[in-house]
Amino acid sequence: MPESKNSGALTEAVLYIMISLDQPLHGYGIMQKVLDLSDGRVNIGAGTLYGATNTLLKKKWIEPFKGESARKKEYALTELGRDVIEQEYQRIKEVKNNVERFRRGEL
Amino acid sequence: MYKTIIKFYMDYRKEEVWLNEMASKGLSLHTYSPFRYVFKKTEPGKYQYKIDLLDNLPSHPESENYIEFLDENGVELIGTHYRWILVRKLNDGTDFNLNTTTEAKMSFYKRYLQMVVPIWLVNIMFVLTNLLSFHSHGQGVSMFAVAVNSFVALMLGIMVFKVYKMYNIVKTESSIYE
Repeated sequence: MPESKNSGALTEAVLYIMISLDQPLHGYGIMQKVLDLSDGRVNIGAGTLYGATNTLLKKKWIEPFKGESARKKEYALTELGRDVIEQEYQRIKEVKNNVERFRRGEL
Repeated sequence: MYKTIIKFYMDYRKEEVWLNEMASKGLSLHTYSPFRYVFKKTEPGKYQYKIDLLDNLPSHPESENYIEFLDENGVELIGTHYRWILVRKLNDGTDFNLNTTTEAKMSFYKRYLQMVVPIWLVNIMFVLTNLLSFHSHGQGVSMFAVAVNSFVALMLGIMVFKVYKMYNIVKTESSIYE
């Protein structure tokens, strides 16, 4: 897993797109779910989603999913994608812990 | 009921505002060919409109993929003009933007500048060479053409300046925000 060597943060849009795909969805479903998960804060544009899904497909973090609807392409997370989310979770936890220490005046 | 309007916009943002104003009055852009807007009477505010700039011409396979992706996700192509596309979606009460991240916005402005700056420079060159030739020969130069080109060069220059300013704002933001 060469990707795991990258210790940089994922963009918010990418992380939200990925976690929205716990169950396979088509593009419009992703946009709706992310909007819903973030209480209307993260509104991913179709152009941005197009670029992000293409990159995620290339990295094999997501894959095309053969769903019921033949017309709309659906996407699903891969095992690699789930690993990436897990690493991102560890990073966010570290950041969260440090911000909490800051708020308690411990830094 | 249909209504046709012939109009020319230098500023795509003003064009976007106009299309959305028309839609909110119940006139939704139905078809578009360069400078020719055909509106159809619909319920007010039924659609939201957006203008995007592609990397390539609409007939390019990469553009076709993008347009197909938009269509699958509720964004309908209404018309094209060179590398520009006019799209709409049903108004669901949320903001309608295609390029939402700072990275996507920056790449839009870059595409714009890469397309327009060369055209702008060619216009300036045309005006300058004609003026120089007029200065040395005193004839053989259409002053009308020079005036038209000067005007176009000025309009393009204003747009280049505006877009470059927006690009710089987003670029500065991008160093602290995604």
